[in-house]
Amino acid sequence: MAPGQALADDAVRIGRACHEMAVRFHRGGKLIVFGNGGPATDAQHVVVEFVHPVIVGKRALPAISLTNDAATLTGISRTEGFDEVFAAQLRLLAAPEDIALGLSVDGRCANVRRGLVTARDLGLLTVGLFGGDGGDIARDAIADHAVVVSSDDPCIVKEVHVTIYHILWELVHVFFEQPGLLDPAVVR
Amino acid sequence: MSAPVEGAIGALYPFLDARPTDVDAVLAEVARSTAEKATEIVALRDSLVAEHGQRLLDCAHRCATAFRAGATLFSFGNGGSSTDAQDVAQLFLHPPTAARPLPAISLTHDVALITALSNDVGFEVVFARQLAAFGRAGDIAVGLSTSGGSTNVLRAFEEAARRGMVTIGIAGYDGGRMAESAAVDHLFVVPSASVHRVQEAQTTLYHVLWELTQQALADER
Repeated sequence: MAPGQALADDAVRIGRACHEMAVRFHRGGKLIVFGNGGPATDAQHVVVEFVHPVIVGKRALPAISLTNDAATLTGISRTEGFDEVFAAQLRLLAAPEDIALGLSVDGRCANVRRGLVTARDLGLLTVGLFGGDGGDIARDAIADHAVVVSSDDPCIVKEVHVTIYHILWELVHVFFEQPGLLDPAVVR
Repeated sequence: MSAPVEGAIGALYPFLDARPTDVDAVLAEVARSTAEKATEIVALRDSLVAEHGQRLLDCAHRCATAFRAGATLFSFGNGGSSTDAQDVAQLFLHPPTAARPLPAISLTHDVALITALSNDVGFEVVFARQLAAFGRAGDIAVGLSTSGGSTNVLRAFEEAARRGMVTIGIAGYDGGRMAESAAVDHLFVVPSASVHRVQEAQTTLYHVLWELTQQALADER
């Protein structure tokens, strides 16, 4: 099945991830997003979706991208190495109630893996959007919720990722409209 | 008795009930609506082939000719479209697959320049002034605006046209003011009422434009 339509098969998994994300936001958590290359721009796009919603009247939710600050990125890369650029920022900026979202078109980005592992160890909810065969990050089940777009073409993976994060934003708000579902006891 | 949720989300998801409800029931409904959105974007992408196929080819050939003559591509947009502009630049400059790297610069990420221009002159000139500084005749300007109405994007096209650059506009809905601008040589409009589906299809448009440009460069070699 074409990757765009195959997304429908991941719908329940995406819905569950959004439910848990909504609970985290409800507790005061923020969303922290990261990726390399094209996915670095996706990280910034996700932040715009959450902080500045396109639908008038939707509340702004806190989200930051770890890809914007060239001074920080080059500084950490020089002293701790490029594999640590996201993990090092997470150790300073993340709180246990937060959500980490890592993107990788092939699931083989060492710094995204390190970021998700660090986030998980800090108690964050971890979500991954991957492509190809999901790479080592999906294979080793690093993230609590992972969606893999099964295409070897990074452009197609990106296109489906954009749809997925638009849906993530929309469904988080759907769960926000259902206050009874935000009690942690409801999440299984 | 149900108590429907009011407002935009209520309109998008009429099955919502404001009272505490069953998680599995909501999950089943959001799964169904997610599947519908997947079908919707696949159909929208399919429709772009008939709408824009030949025009994308023509545009790609023009870009290939420009690159062979030493052109640099400049991309720009606001908000989500600013991230697309950066994605366009990195796609041409640092291709994810075996392809020819091409000079491309996004005008959206130098915060010092953007805040300086916004503070001293106005936000409407943030891209136009950069093109005035960097752009040469024969260069390529790619502007993205889901509404087609971003003033700073339109001003940039006017500056680019004045300098003899190739201008490419990517917009949504009905193309807005971008569709009325004489400064846009190649216009690609995604006809959808959903800003999200527009953005998703715009991504496909610039991916295809990049692939066709690469093919045209390879063919002309």
